[in-house]
Amino acid sequence: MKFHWFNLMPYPYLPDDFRQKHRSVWVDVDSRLYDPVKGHRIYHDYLDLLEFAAELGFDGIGVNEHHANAYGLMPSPALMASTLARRTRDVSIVLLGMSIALYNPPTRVAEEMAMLDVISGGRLIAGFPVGTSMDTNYAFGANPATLRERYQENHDLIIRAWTDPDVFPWNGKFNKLRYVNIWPRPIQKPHPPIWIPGGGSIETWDFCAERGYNYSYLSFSGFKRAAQLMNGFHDRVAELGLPFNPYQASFAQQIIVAESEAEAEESYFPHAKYFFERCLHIYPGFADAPGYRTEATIRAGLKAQVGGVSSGGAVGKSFRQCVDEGFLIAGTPDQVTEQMEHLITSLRVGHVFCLLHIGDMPREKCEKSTRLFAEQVMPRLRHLWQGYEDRWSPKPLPAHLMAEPRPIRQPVQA
Amino acid sequence: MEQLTITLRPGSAPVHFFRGGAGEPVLYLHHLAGLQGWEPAIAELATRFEVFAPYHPGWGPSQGLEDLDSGLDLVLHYVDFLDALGLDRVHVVGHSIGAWIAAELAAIRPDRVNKLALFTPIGIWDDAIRGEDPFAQNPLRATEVLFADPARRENLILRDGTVDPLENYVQEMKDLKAAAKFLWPIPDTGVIKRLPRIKAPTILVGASGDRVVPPAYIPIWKANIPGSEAKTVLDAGHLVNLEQPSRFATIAGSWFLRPN
Repeated sequence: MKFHWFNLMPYPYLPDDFRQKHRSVWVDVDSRLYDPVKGHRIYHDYLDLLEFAAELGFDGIGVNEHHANAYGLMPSPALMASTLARRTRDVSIVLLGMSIALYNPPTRVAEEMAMLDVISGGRLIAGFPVGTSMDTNYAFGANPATLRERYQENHDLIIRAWTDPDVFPWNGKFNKLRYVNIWPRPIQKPHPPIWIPGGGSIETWDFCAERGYNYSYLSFSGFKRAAQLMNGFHDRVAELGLPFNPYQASFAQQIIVAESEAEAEESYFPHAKYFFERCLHIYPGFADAPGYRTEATIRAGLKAQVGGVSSGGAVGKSFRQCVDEGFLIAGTPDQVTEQMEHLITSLRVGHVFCLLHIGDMPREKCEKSTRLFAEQVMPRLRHLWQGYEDRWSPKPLPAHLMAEPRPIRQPVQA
Repeated sequence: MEQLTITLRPGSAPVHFFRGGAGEPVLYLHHLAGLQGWEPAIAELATRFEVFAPYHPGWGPSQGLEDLDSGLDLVLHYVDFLDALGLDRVHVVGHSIGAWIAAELAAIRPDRVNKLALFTPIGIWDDAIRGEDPFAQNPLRATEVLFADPARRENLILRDGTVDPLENYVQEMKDLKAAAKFLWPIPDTGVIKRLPRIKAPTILVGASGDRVVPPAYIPIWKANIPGSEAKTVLDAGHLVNLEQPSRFATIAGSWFLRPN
């Protein structure tokens, strides 16, 4: 069983009356709420937390891409991943990922991910999200009527750019390139493992199953509501006659670990409330542009992965309700271990993205919760899914080929 | 009135359309939210003309959106449609996105268009005027922005007699997706530079309560179409045909019958 530490990097200084005074945390959120001086400290706290998680033995540390929002401050996830690649050694760099339909030409994605794979010594996981409607259609102006077609073409071009050793022309509908020849090329062959963050689209099941990609279901509605989608994926794999492997599936879950249940509720739960009430306060008109979801997905009753009508589901709920309904896994190490085991076995996932930083949680609290998870929860769950081969984790260089970056140098004293 | 289909080319998706009435032929090109069957405005127009009202490709039952990439493709689609029906020259009444298509048709094929009536035409953008985003709307009341009086939104919900909420929502999203293909993210289609090519006598009709194409756009269209005239319909939003069907039919019909 593998555990990855993930930070959405929310802006933690949204005002108490944010919901009342502002219609959306995304797209048209007031930029005057952002203080870049505070932002400086936040980035370093967040990056420190990711490095801290690597030191504690998490298998991967994760970053992702969002635009024009206070929910996640990573418009360029490759920038975040590149600094992590330099400052860590063994951990997987889970870039989950770059919204490949937004890059023109998308060979940019092939190049940047190849750079990251080379810099990190083959530790990259390459995530290919479609991106939320807020990010793609509204913030980046991508046409919702052609977004998925463009995604598909860009995917095909990136894979070919990684795997075809010869210079080739690409005469696509959205990209015309006379000479495709990316330098550098990734260390991992034929290319870094590909994970597809999804949730709002049933077509993603077929795409992952047929191509052998990891299906990464991201949801803030918690694991109890996730069974429909996760089972949909596993069923699709079975229908195609392919073998079940839990490592082909991953799930993101918000987690609080504390010395006592009372501490989890009193000290940590307010930060989760901040997340549910402010970071997920999305104007519904930006959540689902016409055409963003396919007709089949609408008919299946699936919501957009972030910002769907259900995403505000935890607003106003008590700590107890959030735990009972699965929005949060929270409590003592024993309680969290039990709930995590339930999540892992009921969803049949071999990877969990542990969202241990939530909302406006300060660094020290997050470190404490992360340490409790790493030392008292993780070891007791490692045995799950023994006997299955994880073909979706990176294959880094052997130790003797790994570079040794120098520590940060102090200025020479005169 | 009859509901028909016609295939323009072997293998291409059939075009679904309504035909009714008698008189000089009129091509009716519907607005961005689609066609609500044989609408009252069309029926009234058909008391004096032979009206052809197709669903654009991708709207309603008409398929084939994936074959269209540009406004030129849309224009050629309607040239083919007129050819297939044996219609040499027609009056065209275009509404919203249909007004854009009608203007392009008249600019590119002036020989096929007799007279032109453009209601709440979309396709020109001015930073000083802007207009509300017809797509970034709360899905529970997605089309409210299209009406001056939101209560009249019922006229759109009851499309084709369909009241099933899921079917209605699916259809609304399909129609708006098709519109988005041509109007996303800013409805600047470039038509402004082709408007001076229009030879057909043209009337431009704005709606006083139009929040998507504020009436301030109408003088821009008028200034670029030689010899055109302009009118404003009161107490109507972007979907004039549904809010003031009789005014809609009267303005278009009188324009087509007026001796020039």
